[in-house]
Amino acid sequence: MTKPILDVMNMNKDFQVKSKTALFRKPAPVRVLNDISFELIEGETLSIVGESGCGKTTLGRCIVRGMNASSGNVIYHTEDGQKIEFLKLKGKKSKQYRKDIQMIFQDPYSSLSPRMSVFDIISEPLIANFNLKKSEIEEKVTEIAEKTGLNVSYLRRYPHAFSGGQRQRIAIARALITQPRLIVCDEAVSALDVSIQAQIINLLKDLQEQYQITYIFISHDLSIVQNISDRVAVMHLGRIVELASTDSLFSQPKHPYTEALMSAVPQPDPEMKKDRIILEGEVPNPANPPSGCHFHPRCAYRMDKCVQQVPELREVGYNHFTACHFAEELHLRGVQNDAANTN
Amino acid sequence: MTTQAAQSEQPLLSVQNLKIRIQMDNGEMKAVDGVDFEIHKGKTLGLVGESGCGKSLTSRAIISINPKECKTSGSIVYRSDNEASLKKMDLLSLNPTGKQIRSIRGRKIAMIFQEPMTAFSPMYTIGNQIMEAIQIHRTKNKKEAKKIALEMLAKVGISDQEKRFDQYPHEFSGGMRQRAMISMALSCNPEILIADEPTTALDVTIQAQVLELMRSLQAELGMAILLVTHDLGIIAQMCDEVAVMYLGKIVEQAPVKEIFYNPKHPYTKGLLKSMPRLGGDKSKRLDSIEGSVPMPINMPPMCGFYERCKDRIEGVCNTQAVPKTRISDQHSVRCFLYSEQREGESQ
Repeated sequence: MTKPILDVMNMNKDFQVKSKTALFRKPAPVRVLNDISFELIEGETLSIVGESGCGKTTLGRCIVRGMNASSGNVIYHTEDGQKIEFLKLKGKKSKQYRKDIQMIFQDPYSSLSPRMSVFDIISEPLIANFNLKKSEIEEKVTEIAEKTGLNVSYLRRYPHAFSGGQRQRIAIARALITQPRLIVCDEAVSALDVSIQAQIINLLKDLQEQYQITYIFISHDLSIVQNISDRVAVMHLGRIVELASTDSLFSQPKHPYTEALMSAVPQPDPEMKKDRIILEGEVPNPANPPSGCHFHPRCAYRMDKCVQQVPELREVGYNHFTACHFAEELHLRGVQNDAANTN
Repeated sequence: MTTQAAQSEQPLLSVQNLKIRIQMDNGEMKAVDGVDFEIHKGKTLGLVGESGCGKSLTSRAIISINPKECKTSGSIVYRSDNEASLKKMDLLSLNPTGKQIRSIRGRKIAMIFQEPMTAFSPMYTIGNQIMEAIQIHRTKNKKEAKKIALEMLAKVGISDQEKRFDQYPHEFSGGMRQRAMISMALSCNPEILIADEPTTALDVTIQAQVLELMRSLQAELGMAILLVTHDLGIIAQMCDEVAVMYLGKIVEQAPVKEIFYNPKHPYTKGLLKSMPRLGGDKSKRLDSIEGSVPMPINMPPMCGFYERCKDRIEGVCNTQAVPKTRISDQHSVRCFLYSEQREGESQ
């Protein structure tokens, strides 16, 4: 059951920024992804969480090749067991395999072309990737539309006629139509209202069960992440600082940043007030990251070592990786798993 | 003691039967349809609902900053608790660009907006914009105004205020801008602070900072807060009382604990259930509310939640307007499930 589908290896991404002061001197590039490596198992949901600017969206885009990574490798394991260097695919091969990995974007108001009817939007990847007859296309689009809960008689309408939740369903249908094995969901439910959010999350879960899809779920909302994912990677300033199974991460976080993130989530329970860890200061600027552990200026447990030495991502428990010098010594607060309490 | 009790009973602001109509191409939209609530000194009232339910329009109507297209009726009575000349007045009856409302807007009732990026003018320095409010309402003296502005910036935790004072909004990060906005809103010691989604655009860690800041400033200055948000988590942490809005109506109103532990309206129940929460059971599916919010255009008198409601009663909920039912002293709900029960049962 633990068949890998994707290996991300040592991925780096630099952005060249314009200098504000010097006219000719090029400033040093900003490293937004720093040595990112992880393995993705088929059929699982891996969530990537972090604050804005931590590089989680960039990571998603680099994986689907919406952006080119500066260095690193992505190995894609095809269904018949081949290993393919996904980032180096060209021409025909590229077409053959890139359709296996699709993406859903955050804002359903800007990710759908207002000039295309819903039918055209959903069928476009099909036309681009397969050579199908018109009737076959129609059949497939209808099938997918039904699966994603769209009203088939509305397919000739344009996106403006749909609500946010409906639009996100259109985006999901479009991503699903090529029968991908992996979907990168970049903040796929953040723009939606709470009651609609739950609908879309349930839909994503149902589709996963039905088609064995693997998800990379990029989000900043920890309560959703806990609900949907099998494993979670916490990112901070371009690095993965913690990677573990959802249960292990939420019950026993090993990185102070993870602890702070979880404690900052406002819980919908008036009796659980106060006693929160409030981080001081702001997210540091990636163009000028702090020395040593990037989190040390905001960390309550920092020591001299944290200022000087960059911690490596290492295994501290069974399949629980963290990049903190003192992971073993610290006793961090997790979230109580009160299944009984939440009915 | 007695005067204090009497004062707290008198609301600072009471909104009654507030209606906002917007003329659209295909009919009249009842964006806000008969909203009542009161804001008390030192307390926080949360207004929660999904997008399009009219919560922002309601909050903006209080200081008359809705666009002209919004036809507003009802009454918003404001009682100042320390000035004899401003004893009691209906804010809606005032000219929205007149002198009177302008002496209240920003001075007595201040507002924080959702988008700290767009609420500041990019052309003026932060200091300049904070000083403007102070110079209009508090002092004509520029030096004094600057002193107050710097104090306010310090109070909201912006370090290096002298330097920050002369910077432009684009030089501030999102969290800093929101702090600056709070300092601007609080610079005239308002009695009521309206916060419209104050932390929606911010990261959780920064959100926690800003909420903490608002809470401590409230304790210090004793102002009332009207907190408009869609996030039930924030409501639980911040509010004393909660009004749940759906389709222009307040469907349920109660103290915060009542709302979370004893919700009555099917919509409130649905919202609470559809929220994933930390520590929740992951293997279970989320209970979602089916369907989506209809447009309140040319709606017949019926319950707006009828089509999505699991407990709807055909022939009752879709044929008449829903009256407000009192469950207890502080708990009211707009749902036929309860008005019928009360008639049927003789409890």
